Amino acid sequence: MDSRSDQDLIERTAQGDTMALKALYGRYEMPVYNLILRSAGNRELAQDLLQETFTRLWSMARLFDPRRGSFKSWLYTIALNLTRTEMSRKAHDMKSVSLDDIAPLHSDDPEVGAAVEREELRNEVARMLDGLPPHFREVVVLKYYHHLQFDEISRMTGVPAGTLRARFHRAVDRLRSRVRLKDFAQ
Amino acid sequence: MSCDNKNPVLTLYFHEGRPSREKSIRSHLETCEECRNYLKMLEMTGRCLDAWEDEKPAPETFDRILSALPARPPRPEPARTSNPLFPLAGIAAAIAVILAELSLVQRLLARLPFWNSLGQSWPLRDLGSAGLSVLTFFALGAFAALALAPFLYFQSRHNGSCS
Repeated sequence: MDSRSDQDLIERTAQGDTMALKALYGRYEMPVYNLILRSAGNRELAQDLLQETFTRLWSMARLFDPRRGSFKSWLYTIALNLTRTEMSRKAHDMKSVSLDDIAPLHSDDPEVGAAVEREELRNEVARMLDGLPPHFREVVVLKYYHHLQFDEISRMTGVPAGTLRARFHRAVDRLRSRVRLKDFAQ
Repeated sequence: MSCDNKNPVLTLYFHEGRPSREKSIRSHLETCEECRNYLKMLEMTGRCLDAWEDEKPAPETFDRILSALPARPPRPEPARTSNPLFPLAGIAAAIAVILAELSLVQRLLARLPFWNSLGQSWPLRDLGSAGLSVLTFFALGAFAALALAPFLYFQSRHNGSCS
């Protein structure tokens, strides 16, 4: 694990150091990939957008200004903007929740059975999130999975924190009406 | 705390408030069933969303990123510091040249026999020669601009196609 700070690594990336880019990638590949995946609901698209996010990071590294927020927020903003653009572009010709396409497996092996159950629950969650409007889904993903504060999300998205809270309440209401929460209670 | 406003419950659930604030929200929850139910719903939704665990991207992704990296754009050149007196000096020099040329043309025109025939009516002679010299000067300028126009046009097209 590279002990250098994000700030140090992004400065080196701006100077053309691919090893610094690799260190940043190793640090953020999982959160960025999962942010895109849960926002877009499509693994193939998430893979492409992860690649595009770090390609943009390379090109735009000189523009990062630590006075305007953390590196993590800046990187998430790049990923979210790319996801929004791609989702709106493909809105009419793409089935967003391709996780549904996984065929159900049947086996007597208890480990396989548990994996199938996990996969089904995950698909259920993906369907739930997919049923939310994009701006609701975004705030739910950033709050529940990435633990960002409303003020931080507000700086990233340009939406007032009060509006984000209202969106979050409404999203939770919608989720409650869509999901059989008893399935997840244990 | 108004129970119409669920924001304090969010503050408690996501631990975004100070300990004293969270303590006061907790004490409210003891007496408010509505807020208690909302907190339970947040917890339940959180457990439900946890079912979608983090996934790993494909291991070859970084290699693909490296191969797709664009050439680093050149750093922008620092802006040249210009001398603020330079444009003023240039304009003054141009005006001086124009006035000198006008004076020369006026003197040449005044030597023509036609002007001498005007005799004593000096205002007509002097003002007329000045006006005619200005017209002559600008006519020559327009002629030069029109003569250079095709060259400048093709030059700009050539520069545009190379950029």
